Amino acid sequence: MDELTREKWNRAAGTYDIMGARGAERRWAGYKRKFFSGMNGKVLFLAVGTGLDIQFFPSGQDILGIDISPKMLDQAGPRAVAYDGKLELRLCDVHDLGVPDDTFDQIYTSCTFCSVPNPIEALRVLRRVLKTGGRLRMFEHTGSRWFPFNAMLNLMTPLTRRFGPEVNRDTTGNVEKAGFHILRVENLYLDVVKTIEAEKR
Amino acid sequence: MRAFFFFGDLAANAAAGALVGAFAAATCSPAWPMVLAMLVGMILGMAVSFSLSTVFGIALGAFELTIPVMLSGMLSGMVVSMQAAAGPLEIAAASQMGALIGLGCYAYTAIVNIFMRGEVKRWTS
Repeated sequence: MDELTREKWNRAAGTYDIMGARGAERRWAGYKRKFFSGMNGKVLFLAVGTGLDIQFFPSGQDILGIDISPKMLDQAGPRAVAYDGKLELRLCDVHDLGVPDDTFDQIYTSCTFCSVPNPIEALRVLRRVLKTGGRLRMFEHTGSRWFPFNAMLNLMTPLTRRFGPEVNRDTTGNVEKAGFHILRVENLYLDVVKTIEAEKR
Repeated sequence: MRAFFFFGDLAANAAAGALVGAFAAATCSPAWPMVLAMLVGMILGMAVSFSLSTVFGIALGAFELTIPVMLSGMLSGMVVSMQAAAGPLEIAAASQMGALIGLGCYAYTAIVNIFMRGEVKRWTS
């Protein structure tokens, strides 16, 4: 397990809900409800964090939620218990999932691949555990192609990566590099906040 | 809720621009070379606006706030510090100028967002 990453998110766990639960979740609640509404079959939810997104999951699903930080999972526990469906939380690193090939019908991520240390390698792991024809659905923030936003995000990244995410990643490109076939990309805010839907072929 | 975010975003951008403008005017003077003043103003603007966006972000969310506020701070810092290097500039006038720049940056980002939103065909960022 990546100890540095685990410690970073353990430190962030105490203030994570203060930063994320009010403005961000309220602003994106409608989009997230729609985004998660397509959940179906056996689902892997990557980086469950403190479980803020659980409120948007449709009921009656079979979901495995993983996270690298035990302190995050401690906070997610009550939210998982309150979920109306099967939701198992597991402490593990995406780079070392310990799950057989072709296990999941769908994989969901939400603001995750800004923070995974080796994104392409992690996406390859996700591709391995996804069934052929299965879908990867991501709600992510990425870098921008356009000035001045790209310059600002590049300047901010050395600072933001110390306590949390890298804000200039080309996550869409990384999905392709990991071998997925991209079906749809939708920009939600500028070209920075977006949903990505990809398939394992 | 939409009104809350709309007016919150406007206020945050105006506040960031005004505060950075005041700092820039207090820091730079006509004795400064123009290019140095611009660079210092930009760095000052980014530092102040990033800190402010962290605070405002609790109520208003992260990216939709941070990006325009950072732009407001950066541009306000550059323009006001250059103005301060060109001649005497009152703090109140600098704040006002900064606030207007902040509102302009918010409007610019909102307009660009209208064109960028939606399904895209070319996606590499």
